[in-house]
Amino acid sequence: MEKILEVKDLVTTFRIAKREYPVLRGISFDIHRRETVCMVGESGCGKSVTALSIMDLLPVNAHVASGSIVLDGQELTTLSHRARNALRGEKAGMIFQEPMTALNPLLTIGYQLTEGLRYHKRLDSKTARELAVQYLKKVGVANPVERLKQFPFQLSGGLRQRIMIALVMSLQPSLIIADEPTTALDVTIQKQVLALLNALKKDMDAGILFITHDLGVVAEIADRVVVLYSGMKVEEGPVEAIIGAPRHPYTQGLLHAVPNVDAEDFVIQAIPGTLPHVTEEIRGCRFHPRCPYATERCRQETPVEIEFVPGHRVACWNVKESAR
Amino acid sequence: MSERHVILELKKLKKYFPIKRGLVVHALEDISVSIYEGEKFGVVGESGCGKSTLGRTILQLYPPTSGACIYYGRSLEGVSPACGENGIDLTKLRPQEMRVLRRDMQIVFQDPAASLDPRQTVGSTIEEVFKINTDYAPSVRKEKTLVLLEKVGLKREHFEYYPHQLSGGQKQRVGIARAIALDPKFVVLDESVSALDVSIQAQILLLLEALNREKNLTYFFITHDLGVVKYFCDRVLVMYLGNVCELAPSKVLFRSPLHPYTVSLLDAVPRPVVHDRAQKERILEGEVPSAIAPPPGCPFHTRCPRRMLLCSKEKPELREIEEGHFVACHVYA
Repeated sequence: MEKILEVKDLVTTFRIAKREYPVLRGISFDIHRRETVCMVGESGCGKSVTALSIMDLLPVNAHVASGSIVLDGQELTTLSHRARNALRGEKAGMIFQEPMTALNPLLTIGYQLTEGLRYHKRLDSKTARELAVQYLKKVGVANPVERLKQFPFQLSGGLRQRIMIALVMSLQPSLIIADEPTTALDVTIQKQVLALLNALKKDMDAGILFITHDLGVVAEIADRVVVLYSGMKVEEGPVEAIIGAPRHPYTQGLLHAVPNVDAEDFVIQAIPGTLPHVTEEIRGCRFHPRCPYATERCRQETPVEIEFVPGHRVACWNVKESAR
Repeated sequence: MSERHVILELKKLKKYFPIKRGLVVHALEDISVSIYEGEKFGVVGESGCGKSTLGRTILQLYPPTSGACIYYGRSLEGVSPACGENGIDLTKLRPQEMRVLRRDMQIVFQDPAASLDPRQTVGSTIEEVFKINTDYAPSVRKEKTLVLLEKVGLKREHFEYYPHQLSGGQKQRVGIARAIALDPKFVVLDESVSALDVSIQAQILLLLEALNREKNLTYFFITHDLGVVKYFCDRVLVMYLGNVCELAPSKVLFRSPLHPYTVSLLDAVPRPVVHDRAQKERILEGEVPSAIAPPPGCPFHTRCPRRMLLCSKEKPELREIEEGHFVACHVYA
């Protein structure tokens, strides 16, 4: 399969009190065409910063310090903001968590849906509106022609998110980044949206980077999974491996911390301690202060990522040599 | 479980919010339920189902439109206990009488950052509770606060901290410390773990569980997270559009849910297990109707996969199908 996105050793730093702190500490991963890669981790682990680094939407006090991002064969980190602006939407589209704040409350759905088509694809308004109606139908919005005249506040959260999906898809980008797109929705609506995304995937050419903290959602939508902890990639692999047989203690901890609706006698296991702050320097593995298996080596040296079965990579000293 | 005492009894509790032009939001429709002392009582449902309104109406933070809220946790001098054995109807109390009862009935909110004063230290936030409600000497107040900090898993040093110096989980611990400071009997937990990361959420659930065991605290646990409810709660109330759909012991509800809404809700929870996605799934269609103009008959009939002709005409009563398992659905009539 063709690689659509290649991120290599990405370091993104934030300037806090006149000092630069790395929020991403050298992250590498790929996304292929027609593939959904889920990025999981708790708040502050760098999931959203990864997305914003790819989209060139970082806040003013942050920048990509080193590493490379190649989208559809084009290196992005060396491009100007202006050039990146032209690619945004057209090459890489983004679906945000809160569809209310992502849509402009003062503009009609029709205006917002056709804006990208008119700007990037240079379509006239009539053609753009026709195309917009087609895409609204695709994402399961009833009465699409009526919807074009409405404003975001007149629509429910689920409907607004469907419109965001239509908006991003209509430009046929190579990469779609969805940052917690179902987190703000109720479970029954979340289920509808996930089913829609899975159905749309079949006739889309794009790769999807799907950011979530919910491992249940991961099991529903991912082909592959990247697990982040405190700016580091700790594990990566096919969804069956990550959900079914995770190797990193953090991934295992995440699975044990979430109460399971199906288990008869679930024993909840908290991960002790808290996530380190970005400004906090930790010697060795950044997870070691919370890790039940930490050894002296974990306290001294940063683990090197190993690929112990093809496609399943883990950065942990305790995954034994024999497994390498 | 040995003999159970009812601590709170809701009788046909109703809450309507009037909005513009004579329109009314039907937030709670005749909720009747008894809550037992020491129980972890869960309330689930999607946004807008009235679960938070129910918690706040019980605490009289919203005055109910009609119905009664009878509290059996203590007798109150000067108030005629007109509702049976030592029961007090909270809806009939004057504000100053309710204020006395607030020591017994506390709430922990969802967003720990928004519920703490950013300009007040952790210590003074908790100490304030003693200042207002007790006549402890300052040294006693401070000592009690320090003990509380340790009880909720914080350190004594945190007394001098400001909220911004704490993580989300630590802030929620302060919220819990403040709620349990006066040894309440009944605590409303309104999505109290929902804003926390999963690893931290588990820590807070374990803390709440320990406090429940130690103090025989009664929890009114409001959440949208069914996994958490299953793990944490003894009994669960399922709400939809201001109405009770189903009420059952947690184990029973998750093993054999009856109401079609409960079934759909459980189906919709994404499971962290490897499964075959090609398999055809049941997906609940449509969205929750408006609470301003709720549909006639059963509130769920517009989305229900098992609806019958009767469902759009007549509202089903809550019936006990087996011991302790109540459901409001014509299918089981």
